[in-house]
Amino acid sequence: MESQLVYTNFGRVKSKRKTSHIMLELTGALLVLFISSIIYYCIKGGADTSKLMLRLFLNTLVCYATAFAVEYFGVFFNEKTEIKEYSEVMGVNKWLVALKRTVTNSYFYVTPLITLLLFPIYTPVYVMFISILVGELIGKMIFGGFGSNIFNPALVGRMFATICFSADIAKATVVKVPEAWTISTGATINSFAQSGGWLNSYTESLSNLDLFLGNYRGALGETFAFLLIILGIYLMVRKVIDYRLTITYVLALFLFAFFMGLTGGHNFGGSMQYAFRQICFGGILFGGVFCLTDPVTSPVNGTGKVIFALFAAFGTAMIRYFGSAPEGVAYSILLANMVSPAIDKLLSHKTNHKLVYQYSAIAALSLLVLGSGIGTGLYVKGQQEKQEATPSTSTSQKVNENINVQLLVNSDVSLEGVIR
Amino acid sequence: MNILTSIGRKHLNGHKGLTAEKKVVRYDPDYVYISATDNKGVELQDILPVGSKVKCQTVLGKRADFGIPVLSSVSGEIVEIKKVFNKSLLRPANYFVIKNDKKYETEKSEPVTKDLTKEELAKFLQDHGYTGMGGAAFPTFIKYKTDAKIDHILINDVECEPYLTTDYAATFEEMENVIYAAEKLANTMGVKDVVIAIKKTKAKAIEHINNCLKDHPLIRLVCVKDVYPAGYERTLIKMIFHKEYKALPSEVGIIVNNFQTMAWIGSTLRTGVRPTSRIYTFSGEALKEPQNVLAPSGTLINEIIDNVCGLKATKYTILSGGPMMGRPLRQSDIPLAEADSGVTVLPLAQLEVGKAVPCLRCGICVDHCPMYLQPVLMFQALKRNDYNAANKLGILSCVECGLCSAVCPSHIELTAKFSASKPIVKIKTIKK
Ligand code: SF4
Ligand code: SF4
Repeated sequence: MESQLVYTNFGRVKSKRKTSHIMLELTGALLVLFISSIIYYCIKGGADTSKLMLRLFLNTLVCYATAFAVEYFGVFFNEKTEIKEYSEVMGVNKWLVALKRTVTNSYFYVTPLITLLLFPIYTPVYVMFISILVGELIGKMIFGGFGSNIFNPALVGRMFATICFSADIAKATVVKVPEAWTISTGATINSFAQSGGWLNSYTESLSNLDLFLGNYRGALGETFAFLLIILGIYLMVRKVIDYRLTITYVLALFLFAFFMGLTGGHNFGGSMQYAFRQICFGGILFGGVFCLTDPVTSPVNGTGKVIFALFAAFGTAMIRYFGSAPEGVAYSILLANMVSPAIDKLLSHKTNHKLVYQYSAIAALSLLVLGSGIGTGLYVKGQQEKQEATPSTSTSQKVNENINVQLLVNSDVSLEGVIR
Repeated sequence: MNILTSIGRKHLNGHKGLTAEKKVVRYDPDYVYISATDNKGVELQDILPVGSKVKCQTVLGKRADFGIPVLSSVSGEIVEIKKVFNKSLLRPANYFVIKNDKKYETEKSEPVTKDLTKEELAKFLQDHGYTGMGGAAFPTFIKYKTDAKIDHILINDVECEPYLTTDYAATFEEMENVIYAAEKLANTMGVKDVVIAIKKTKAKAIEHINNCLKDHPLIRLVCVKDVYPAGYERTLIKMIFHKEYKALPSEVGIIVNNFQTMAWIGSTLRTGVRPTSRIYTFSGEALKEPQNVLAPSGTLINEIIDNVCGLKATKYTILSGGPMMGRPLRQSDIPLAEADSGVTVLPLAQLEVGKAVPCLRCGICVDHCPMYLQPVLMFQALKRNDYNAANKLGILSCVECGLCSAVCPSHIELTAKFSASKPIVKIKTIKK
């Protein structure tokens, strides 16, 4: 038996944890969310259940088919030379190689699932198709595929759809459902809340518990706050997502809302409750757990991640409370994605020599977030007082009593279906 | 605890059980090969001619760069000077070939009993040709030739590299010398605190050291977590003293020595005999009988593998050092140097080659890099052949600890890429 010395500098000590495991675990968590919402709509769907399920089924099918097709050809095109080499060396058909790579190197199965969860259940199929197409193509493949994209693909698709089809998405809720309070998304619950004046007691329409458990309608993945928190903790413990991102983001927004509540006239308990509700509403938890943490589009550096999350939180708060768009999560994460390479660049080389800058950057951003929280509270209060002083405009007193009226007063096309 | 990095949190499977509890075996080669060049490939000065009779510790020549002598490791005769592959230069270079008469006669120097001044100490260390035995072969005297105020001497017995057990084996034999050296050097440098660092998990060695240290209040033992790279001095100082420095530990008042370097210094001070044989760990799953081998420096690797350990794998790869920092060898008839800790021989089947998937920019490598670099960004720069950007990211500060490759979930070979690219980066950036 002749022994042979082989020279190789590769593969000696390798981590047991592989990227594919990470991706599968993430997909698992997303699936839990997906299945929960299916169950929810099966129970609460009433007479529309079959209709809803059919639509969901179609959407899923379209999403996956489109995503797969785009990624497959994307991989084939982007990695032409590698695929050719590999297929020549191993004697495998190059289309098969591309197929394998779509699964093992490009993880085509994650983005469509996130996209599905970002939309309400009854979203028209063509909206779904176009947003996944845009997301995959412009968000992912054009940049060179998995690992090279700058923006979160699912959010790119969602944004595109929000801009182009907001009316269609809103109409997605024109389905008869029994609960009188059901609020649906598209404009999401936040537009509802916004029109009630941010600090007011629109809360009565939806109890804390229902909000926490997700007993209302919204985008598929966004409503189950309770489940999202559990999944988030699980994923953080398993190191699938980076805890620094999620915790910074959610905590910053919580504190923002808390201080906003305090200066806006709530007492301590009221502010806590207000902040809690703000976190549970809309996409903050979903975005914080599944979108912001997309490793590809966040900075690589620990400090960078904290700064990135603070930046996104600030953006979310600003857009949510001041912007015309009711839901700031998607926008702000995409904005933060944009600065992520710059953060990487600033925090490079031996970072231990720049600790002072790092800490001061974090401190400054935290102060900015908290300060603007206080400022926003004062501002909103001022607005309210002004409104109360001039009773000719729709009286906020009345608004509190009957949100439906308020919404009808302000009604536009998207709100038609919001309340049933 | 700093949440912004995870340096010093990575536990690796040590594989040390293969050799840890084995008795040290002695191996006497017929010929030894001692480098006739320094670490940069420059010829030694005042070279002894072919045919000279030598003893252990005879000066064969002086290194041009630091003026430290190169010593013969055996007694016998220089039979020729020829080109042999030098694994740190990565090319053939001149070597003394010394025929070993196996008598190990020694050209003793005077034992040192009196207290040394700083200058005398530095001279003593320089004249006896000490270089660090932990792997980097940094000349020891330079560490002591400092004007900085030194508060601590740190004796590094951590040995975080998987498979290697040479420091561990030496711990049971050399404590006397280490204590002697430590007290002497502490006295000279005015140091009030000498620390021996070892991993928590090495219970037997800890017990032994504690027994030996009973009457020596100056020296204390510190146990560190079983993580990689706890044995790298930058990380070790951070873990024990919570201090950071730029280039040299003396900036924060610390001198770090490898355990065996200290033992050798102690032996020379005490008895006048400067050892020239050291313990090399020969380990790895491809060997029939992994061993800790005591051999004169300059022994050929393949002699020990064939005569002491035996091969059992058909396809194998040889690393000079452990799997993390070790470098693969293209041939096995290469002489061992004084700074080598051992050789790891792994079956090819155990390696994972060509399974890398795209980087997901998770930042795990950044979190772990003990030099606080960004392996992922350097890798991306190198991938697009942007050597300037890689240089700006600090690739030349990379110590090739291998950790980024080991933690990467995408199994990308970052360290291999860096060690291959560093020479190119050097050339490209000097031109500018
Ligand atoms: S550990 Fe690997 S996958 Fe993660 S950022 Fe570094 S190189 Fe990329
Ligand atoms: S090999 Fe270099 S870049 Fe990688 S972790 Fe070690 S020092 Fe950092």
